[in-house]
Amino acid sequence: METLPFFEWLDTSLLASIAKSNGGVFAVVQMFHLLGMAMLGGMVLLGDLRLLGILMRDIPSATVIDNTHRWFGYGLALTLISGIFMASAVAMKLYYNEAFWAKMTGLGIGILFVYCVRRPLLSFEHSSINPWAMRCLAGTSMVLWFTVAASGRWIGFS
Amino acid sequence: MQKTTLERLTYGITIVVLCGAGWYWATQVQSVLEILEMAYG
Repeated sequence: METLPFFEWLDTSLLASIAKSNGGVFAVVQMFHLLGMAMLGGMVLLGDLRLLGILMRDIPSATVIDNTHRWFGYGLALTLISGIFMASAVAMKLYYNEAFWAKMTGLGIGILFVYCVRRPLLSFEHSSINPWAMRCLAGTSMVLWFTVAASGRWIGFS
Repeated sequence: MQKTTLERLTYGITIVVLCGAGWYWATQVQSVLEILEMAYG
């Protein structure tokens, strides 16, 4: 699938002209992007470290997972919406940036992993799930979201 | 999906993600080391 036309369209869209000409608006949206990332990363860490039995052992893991998953969703939505706005300001630069594509790949895999594997598996009674599957689930989730966040930061250096 | 299918899927994805992320970060570290070598000999 050719994505260049989409980036060319995004670069000349109304969104891009707002982002390019209003530094203040861009800064506020960037603040929401960081807030969303903090929320998303925080929920991933809380949930996964609980699954590994490192944090909050006195609270049932199903309770922690249910609560963190809801806030993970809000964080993801906030990050995606603000991210599209921010990307519109530098759409063509991002298209040729390797770290950006690494981030998008990680993000796509991460979203599929959360909603197609992690969530359905954790909807079963946690004590009935194989402990190794639980460890793999938590470890993979942390590696995936670390890669997404770190490659996002890497865009600025590459 | 059944629990055992999801568990097996988790094992498979874990291997793929660890290999993929490991390879990606190894190439990134290597490129940083190359830049440092060029800068400081």
